[in-house]
Amino acid sequence: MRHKKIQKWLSDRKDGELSEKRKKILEMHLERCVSCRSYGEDLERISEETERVKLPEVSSSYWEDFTHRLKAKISSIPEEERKGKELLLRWRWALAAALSIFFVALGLLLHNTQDKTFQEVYLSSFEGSLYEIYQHLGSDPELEEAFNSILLASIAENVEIDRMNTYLDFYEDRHFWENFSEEEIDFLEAAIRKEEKL
Amino acid sequence: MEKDMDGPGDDLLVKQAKEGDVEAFSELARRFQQRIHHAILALTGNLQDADDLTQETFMQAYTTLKSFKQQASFFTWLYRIAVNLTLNFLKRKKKEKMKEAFSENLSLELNSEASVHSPEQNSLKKELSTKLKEAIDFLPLPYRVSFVLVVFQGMTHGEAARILRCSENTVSWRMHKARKILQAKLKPYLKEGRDET
Repeated sequence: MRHKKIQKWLSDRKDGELSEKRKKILEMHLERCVSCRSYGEDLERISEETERVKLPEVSSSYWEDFTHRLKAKISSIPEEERKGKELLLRWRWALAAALSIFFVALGLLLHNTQDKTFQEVYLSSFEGSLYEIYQHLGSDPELEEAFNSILLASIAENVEIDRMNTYLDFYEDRHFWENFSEEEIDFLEAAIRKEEKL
Repeated sequence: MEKDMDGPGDDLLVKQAKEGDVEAFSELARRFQQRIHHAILALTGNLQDADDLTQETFMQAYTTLKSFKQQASFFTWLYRIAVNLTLNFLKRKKKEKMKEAFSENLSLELNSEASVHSPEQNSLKKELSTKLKEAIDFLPLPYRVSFVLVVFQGMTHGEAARILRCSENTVSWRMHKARKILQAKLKPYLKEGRDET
């Protein structure tokens, strides 16, 4: 494991990428390790030989011709073709913006529709229905009067029921008397009559 | 905006080229064409392929220049295009290459057998150089690209990493692995060379 690390460091050192601290550790290791030293020498040899590797050389006239050909090619490229990516990018933004606006508008529309529906339900249940009935009765005063009297009677009836429910005296409830003896009942009746007279 | 002794800086030329200035782009091409060509040639080992791919690199750079956001340097961006195009080209040729590799490796083995026992040290030296070229050509692509950028182009691991869009550590490991492969392949020749010196 240590030798593998040292061999990696030898490669890093060749590229000038090894820290001073590691260089010292490396040197110390190489002094006593024959195999790593031998590997280092091989790398040195490869490096020297690599410097001698010559790629085919090209003349200056080649570069003049190269530039000339390239210039001719790029001059023939239509401007629209060059805008390809940017246009696509712009369209992408435009599409994103349009979609955002659409969804915001849709959200607002749904929100408003929901509110309106609620109001409509509310109005048609109470004020709305009354308003509509009066619209129909408006042309006939007799019918309107009859409707009003029915409506008032209905309200009065409701009020009476409410009053009865609310103001019922405890002794009017028959269940109140069920658990008393005869003597107790007589006593209570006498007490109630006496109080009513007062 | 950077400026140097030789004229306007790269940033200014890029800006002008983005606006459609062919001259400005030609100047950029003049500045980098040799280095790009050299890197591609080291990867392909073929002058015609290097010429075609260098032209293609600049063509692609010109057509997509507007998408270049100048977060990296123009040089790094250009190198990325060149390396990507070359890698795609080499992958397309992979089948052909593998066939060639098989036959050449076969001859390499046969030749190495013969050369190890050859008494002529001069021919060994020549052979080492030839075998080194061959061994570099047959390095796996990711190792070869890193090797070419660092050794032939003189880049740091960081510069190569930016072009290859990987970490410095990855480049460092690829360099180590590449050297291990080269050393293993050239061992017989290296041994002879050491004995000679």
